[in-house]
Amino acid sequence: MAQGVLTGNREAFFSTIRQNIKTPPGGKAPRVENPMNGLFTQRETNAQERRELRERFIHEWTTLGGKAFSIKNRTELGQTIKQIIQERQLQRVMRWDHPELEKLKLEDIFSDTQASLSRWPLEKNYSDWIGKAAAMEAGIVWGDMVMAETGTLVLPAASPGQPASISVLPLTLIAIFTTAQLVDGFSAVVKSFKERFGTDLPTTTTFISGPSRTTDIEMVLTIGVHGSRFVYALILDEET
Amino acid sequence: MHIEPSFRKRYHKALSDTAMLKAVKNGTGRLRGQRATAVEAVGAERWMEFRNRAEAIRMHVIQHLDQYLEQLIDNVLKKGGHVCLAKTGEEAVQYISELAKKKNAKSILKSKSMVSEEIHLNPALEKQGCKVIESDLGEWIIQLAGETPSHIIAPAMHKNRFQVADLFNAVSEEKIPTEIADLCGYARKYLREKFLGIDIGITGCNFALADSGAITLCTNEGNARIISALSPTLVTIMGMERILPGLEELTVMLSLLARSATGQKLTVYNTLSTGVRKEEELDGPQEFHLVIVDNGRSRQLGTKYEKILNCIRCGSCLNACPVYRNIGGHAYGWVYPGPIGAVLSPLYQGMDKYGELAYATTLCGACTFACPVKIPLHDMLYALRNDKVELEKTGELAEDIAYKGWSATFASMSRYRFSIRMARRFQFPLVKAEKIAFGPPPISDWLKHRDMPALPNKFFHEIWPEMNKDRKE
Repeated sequence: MAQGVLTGNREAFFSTIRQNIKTPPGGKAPRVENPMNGLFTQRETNAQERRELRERFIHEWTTLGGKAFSIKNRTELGQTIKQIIQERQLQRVMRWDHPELEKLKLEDIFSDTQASLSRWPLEKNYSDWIGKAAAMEAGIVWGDMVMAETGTLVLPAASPGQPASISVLPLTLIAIFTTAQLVDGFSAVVKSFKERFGTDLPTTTTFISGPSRTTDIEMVLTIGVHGSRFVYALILDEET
Repeated sequence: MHIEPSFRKRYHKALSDTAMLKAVKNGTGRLRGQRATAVEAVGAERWMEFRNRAEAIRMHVIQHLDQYLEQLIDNVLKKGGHVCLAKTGEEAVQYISELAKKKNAKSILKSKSMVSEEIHLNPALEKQGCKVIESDLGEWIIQLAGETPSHIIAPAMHKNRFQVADLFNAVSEEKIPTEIADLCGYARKYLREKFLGIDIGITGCNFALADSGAITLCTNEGNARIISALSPTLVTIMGMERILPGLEELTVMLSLLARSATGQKLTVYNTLSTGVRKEEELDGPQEFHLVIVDNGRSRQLGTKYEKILNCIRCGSCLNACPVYRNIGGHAYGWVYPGPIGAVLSPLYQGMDKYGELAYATTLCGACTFACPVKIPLHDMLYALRNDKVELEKTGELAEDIAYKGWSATFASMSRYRFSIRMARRFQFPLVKAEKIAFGPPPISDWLKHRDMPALPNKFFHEIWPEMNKDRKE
């Protein structure tokens, strides 16, 4: 990647800052060591604890206005997806190009319905894919990590096949994951990100906690202003 | 847009706008209640620990601001993003205007950015033929109204649905009903069309992360995320103090921000973006520009007001403030309303223009208590008052005489007792049913909204010797 360009007088910009920063009595405030310590749940979990986290997540997600399904097997997965297609009257759906979604053979499920399923990328050219993406009625993503305490999907665009557009453009968002993806909250996410990415974060990482909402008119809650109005979480057991 | 220069005239106008006041009281009441519920759920002790941690994080960053900004700049440049260091608002506007011209940009979509309001970016871009559209629902409403935001996180809090319907109907080809769901539905449809034709996207920056060069965008609507995904050219404007060392510090701030602002555990969409998309990626910007703005911020470093740079723009001080709740945001006259605005406006724009705002407070301290990063706002407002008097050295003559007289009277027991005996005698024409409800200026203003108890027939120091005499006997 070519280096970017800096505009403006760096020396002049920083000279005022450096001139004005004064060391207070007792020295400058040190960097806070372990800033998350004691504030967030920190633990390793086993399969049973993650099933409990599933219930916690479902509670948070539904309170936020989403729908969640605990899926026992592939048959139930197919039935639930068909139910959503019916409920939302879906015709056009797009999905991430993700190995876990590949394993689920979603195309077979869709082949039996009124809806078509397209895998990203829709087109190579910007002006072509943007029109197609805008016409999609639902997007399917894989929940890379899922924070139970806040009902949050963690979606890093860890590869080109996992764009932000799929999770924010369509009216309906469907997130599929297993209980293995469930964590308590931020502690586990930060630990995982440090191990996987260090400071070289993906181009985009989005934390999604429910459907799009606003209270900008008379403080009345309205769901689905710009992002998804209908959000579904399909949770498979990790031992399925 | 013309802003009335006199604070007194601005707040008198606000006090007569009963519809606006009702909306502000309703809105701030809800937000305050939601915050209280969220804080209770966290637990008082844990919440205080969160605040202490956040304060320590912000203080460290501000005292090492040069170091973290240098790190951020290097990381953004390394990842192919461009950086503009704007000492003044004018420099930032010039950079972005030239970029828009170079890109032949006609359609510019913006997500919420208080800094862009500070520097009057929109008028400059519109002057050169760009169509600038605010994508946050509240910001779009006030853009259509030709107004400034009246609250940091709910910019159109002062408007009701009927006023919003009128604004939408002025741009719509079909008639939009006044039901809120219909109004939001129209906004989604209208703005979605604009998103799809975007030339340049402009966002603010909730937090920049120095160690990765990532910017964080927090919205409940998802508009900033759409802009960052679909814009071929993305511009992010950040106040230079809106920076954190890394991801760990960010989690502390995100947890406080949402709870303080609206009572949510987290804002619906929190997006971390490192700028330019990789070659094999299809969505995300091809070009990224980070505009870092000083505009008076560096002047606060090393002063007694330095902690004002800790602010994370949650708006909870506004919801807590009895003054804001009773006059709304426009009375403050600049971009930032409420207690944070009453401190920032004179510091950034000058005492001569906004020094009066130091008196827009009861000094009750509710703002300081509400602040998630523990900025001592009411102390700063008191300090600003001192500064204003020192600077001008001319306080109001009548006030000066009154305070000197009060000081001389209360410094002597005999003068004090003489004065209250005289006051008791001369109050007679003003007393009705043991209350004083009207009087001459300057107390007439104060008495318009409250009654004062009349001075009693006997004061305690007159009763006590009699009681004591009875006890001794």
